Amino acid sequence: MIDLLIVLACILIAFSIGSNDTSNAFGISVGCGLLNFKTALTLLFVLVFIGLNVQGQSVMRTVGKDLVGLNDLSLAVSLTVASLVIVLSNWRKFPLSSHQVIVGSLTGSALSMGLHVNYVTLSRIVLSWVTSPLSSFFLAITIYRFVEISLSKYPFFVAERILSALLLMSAFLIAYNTGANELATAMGAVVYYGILSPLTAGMIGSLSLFLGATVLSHRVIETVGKGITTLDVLSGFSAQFSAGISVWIFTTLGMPVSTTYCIIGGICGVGLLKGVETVRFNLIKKIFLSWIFAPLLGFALSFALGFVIANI
Amino acid sequence: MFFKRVFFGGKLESEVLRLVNEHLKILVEVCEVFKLALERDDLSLLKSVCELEDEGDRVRREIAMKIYEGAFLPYVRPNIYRFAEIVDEAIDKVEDTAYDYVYLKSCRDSELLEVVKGDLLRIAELNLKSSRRLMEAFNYLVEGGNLSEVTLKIRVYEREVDSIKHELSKKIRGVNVDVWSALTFLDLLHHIVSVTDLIEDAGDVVQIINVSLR
Repeated sequence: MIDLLIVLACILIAFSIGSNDTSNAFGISVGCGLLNFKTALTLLFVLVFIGLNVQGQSVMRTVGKDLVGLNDLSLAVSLTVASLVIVLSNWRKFPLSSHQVIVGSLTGSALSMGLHVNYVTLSRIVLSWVTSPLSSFFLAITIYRFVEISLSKYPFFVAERILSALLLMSAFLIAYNTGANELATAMGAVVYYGILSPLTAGMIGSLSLFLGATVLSHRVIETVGKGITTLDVLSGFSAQFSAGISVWIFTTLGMPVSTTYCIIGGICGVGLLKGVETVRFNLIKKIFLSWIFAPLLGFALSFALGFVIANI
Repeated sequence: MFFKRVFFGGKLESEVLRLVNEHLKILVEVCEVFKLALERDDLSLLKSVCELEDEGDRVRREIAMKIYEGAFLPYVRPNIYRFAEIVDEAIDKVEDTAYDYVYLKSCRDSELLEVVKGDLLRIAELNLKSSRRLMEAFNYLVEGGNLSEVTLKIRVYEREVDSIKHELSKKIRGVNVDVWSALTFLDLLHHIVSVTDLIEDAGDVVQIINVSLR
């Protein structure tokens, strides 16, 4: 029974990732008309599945094995709290990073139940949350300059085709990372606690993510696709691709990091390149607050619920 | 299918480029036919101008449809259509000029035409040269080349046309003609000089397209 609750929580988290984060990968490509929505969904499913199975192990290990000690109750509490927080925050249109909520929740429930918490791993994860947007920031500047100089050597319509191909490549990378990092963060604990095998977790997670993307991501994709017109194509590509590379590097290191924060880091990098006045500092302040708030909320709720359950 | 479209340029994109090229050929041809009609004083040639104008409209509509179907990145689409619109407007102006020429010939004081014909021919020649340069400029977007140099030449032609227009405005003040001849001539002058103006605008749009992805 408790296992079912845990798996349901994972399905809910994967569903939310699909509904909310598909736009990170394919928002620009669908908005630009490079892909239609159906093709984007199919590609997302395939790439997420590949990502989770090829490289998801390292992030799953960090979250499911290295970070905290687990038992049935701690897992049920942390994943239920995490799934509810993620779903409610999406519903209230104040999306929080699923990685941060999951890591915060796992730590909170483990502490409340007197389980082992590996502070070195926790510190490494928090450090990666700080450094991943920063690396994306600097990468975006480098990529922007490099592509700008490279494209200037080609006739316009050739450059336009190259940029289209690069946009698609960057979308593939982000979709792959969604499986290798985001979904791996959600499924890590259930895999390492032995509730699901990696392959079953991969199938269930990818299908739930695909379902979330199919049912709810259309509007988010449209918003991103149209909203990106305020950002020129080259800047959009640089921000997205730098985030893709950053997340991929951190995935290789086994660190669960947020693609959204990396994209924001990339956008700030390109914005700064074009003049500091183009960066909206008020928005960055809000994002920074949510960055602090998300893990703390997951931690506090899981700790409180875990404490109550452990003392009943 | 989408891989082919993204990496090798899609059918829609190739089709739009082919249509824009066709549109520009019509512009060059219409300028050429008008100049020839003026040189030979052959009114039958002016009918071809009207036929070419119809053809230009058809091509512009097709360009619009293909762009609407999703050719090119969204950033580029408005400028390509704007370009097609300006080219079409230039073709329209040549047709207006052809009509004005026919009207002027039927006016009582047709000797006015004798006074200004040489200058009109010079303007028609410059219009033709500008249209050829515009075609060259657009081809540079596809094949590469020194775009600034070509658009600069278009601007030079436009200035030359402007100075001929001022000369003509001064010149006709000394000619004694009836009101209808004067009005028709002013329309003709206005239309014939706006062809290079529009070609210059189209050249600017080509420059804008060229920097729009940078």
